[in-house]
Amino acid sequence: MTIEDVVNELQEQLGSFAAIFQRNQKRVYVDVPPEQTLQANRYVFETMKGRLATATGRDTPERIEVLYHYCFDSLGIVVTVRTWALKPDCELESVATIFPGANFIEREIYDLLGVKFLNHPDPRRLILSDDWPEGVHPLRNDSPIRRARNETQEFMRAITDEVTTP
Amino acid sequence: MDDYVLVIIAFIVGTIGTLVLGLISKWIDRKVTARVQWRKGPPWFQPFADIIKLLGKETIVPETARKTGFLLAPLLGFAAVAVAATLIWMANINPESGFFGDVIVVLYLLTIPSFALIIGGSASGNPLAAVGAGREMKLIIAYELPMLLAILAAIYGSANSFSLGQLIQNDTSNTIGIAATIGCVLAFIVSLMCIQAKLGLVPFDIAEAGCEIASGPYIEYSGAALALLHLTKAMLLAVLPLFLITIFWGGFNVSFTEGVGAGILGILAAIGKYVLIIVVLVLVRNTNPRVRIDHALKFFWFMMTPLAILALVLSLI
Amino acid sequence: MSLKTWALKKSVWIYHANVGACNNCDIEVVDCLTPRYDIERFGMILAESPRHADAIAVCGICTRQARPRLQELYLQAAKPCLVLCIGACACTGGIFRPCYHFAGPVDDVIREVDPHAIIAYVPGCPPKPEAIIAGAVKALGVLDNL
Repeated sequence: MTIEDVVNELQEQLGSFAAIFQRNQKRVYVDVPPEQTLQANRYVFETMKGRLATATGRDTPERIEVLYHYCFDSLGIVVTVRTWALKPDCELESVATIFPGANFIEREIYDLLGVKFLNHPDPRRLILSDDWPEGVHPLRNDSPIRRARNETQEFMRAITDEVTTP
Repeated sequence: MDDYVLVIIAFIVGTIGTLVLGLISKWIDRKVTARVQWRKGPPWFQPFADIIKLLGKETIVPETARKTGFLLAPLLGFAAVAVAATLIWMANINPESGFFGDVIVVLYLLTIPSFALIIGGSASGNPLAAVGAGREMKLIIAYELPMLLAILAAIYGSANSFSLGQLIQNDTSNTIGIAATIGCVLAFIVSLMCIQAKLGLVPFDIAEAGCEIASGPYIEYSGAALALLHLTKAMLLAVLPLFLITIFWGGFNVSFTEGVGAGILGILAAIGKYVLIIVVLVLVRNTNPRVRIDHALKFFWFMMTPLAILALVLSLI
Repeated sequence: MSLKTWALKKSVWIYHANVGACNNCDIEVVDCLTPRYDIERFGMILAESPRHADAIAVCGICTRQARPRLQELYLQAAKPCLVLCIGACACTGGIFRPCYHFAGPVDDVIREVDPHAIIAYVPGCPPKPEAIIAGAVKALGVLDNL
């Protein structure tokens, strides 16, 4: 199988609701609306035997995108299934109901970005400390922590300017 | 009155002498380990510096610990090894000064340091120390039986008496038959293995495994109590090979030339015997991994015990 | 120099604590024990329990979760005990200083429980084993004045 075969197969099976985009010789993106995310993930994982490497998240002004990266090791390509969760609710179907390997990574995305996964078998926070306040998601662009970081950068810039200018 | 003063002086001199000998043996251990690993080792005064440093630190008793057991246990172990050391030195220097059955007394005294470790570890109130104490208990069950059988084999094979002094004297003057010789050699090998378990040397240092349970029963000790525990271990490192030399190799006398007993040759031979045993222990320590507790039990019960029984049977013939 | 100080300088037992490091500094601390640098010839070995420690080698920025635990570790060590901050992250926070999980550089964390703690800073990312040894020796030199 080559990457063209993979793209064709994805186009046949998922093309009715998904947008397939091949970026280069190794990367394929599949954009799926949130209602069909379970179907797309199930297809890539079970039928095409992709290996879930990790899942990442992206914070954009209207929605939070969640990307699941599947590796096909024998072909050397990565297929990314991209779904999104609209703000302000930020809810998405959990892929952990299909296979348990996605359990921890979805807990981490919930913890850091605030995407609530529906029907998740174990919806707890994962990596933030025990005394972290509820509801504060540090990797969101509008979180107060990030504002403090920008303020620190301006502060650091100011004091280096002070030191260098005579 | 004179007798008592003599005994007390012998006790003090014996303890201090064994202390110094034990700490020097510990240095030999660390230096040979370093050389085997292509490093330079610590200088000769290193174990002394360790003990002095530990005496200068504060002794912390944790809240969950039982204070009496926690602080008494190192003292018990130290006292037991000191008395055993005195008995062995006195038997070596003056073979008539022992009494009938002092081999049994020394054997009993040498089990007390392990019990002291178990008591101290259980009294700390730390779950890792409890795991270490449990492992030490299982290890005692494993190695005591072959050790006793091996010592019995040596006793019946050579002198047929339970007094240390008589064992030394008979070792130098009797010749024993072939069967008893093979039996005693097997018994020596078995007791060499049992010493490694008693001293807590790899491959049998399960009770105080460093990386696994953060040194087991020693975990909550600090300061002077820890210094006493390290001193006990150093003294055991000196006493146990001496015990073996007394029973199997005729103490400090040279046994292959009649008439040349003590004197310079005897002292050199004694030092040579002692250093040989220590170096064998250290080399085994550096070339083996740590075994699991069930492997250790199987090793001592199903491989060492039959060997010791065979040795006993051979030396009784 | 009294006997106590001489013995403390000649036999330092190091307890290694990782409070949120990327493991680079941990590798360099363990490198010191290898035959090339061999700190055992100075009497330094790794202690297994914090109660046996004379020096706590701290690697990593102190994360929020690790902060009370690091303070507990320092209190458990039998005094006198040094603290070595290994690496840029432990000294000042390094490149992770503005992050959400940063809870203070290590010297602030330790000074909160003991204002008179002896702390040595070994900068670098990661510091070379020679630098770690030099930092430990400098910290031991302070003990002469105690």
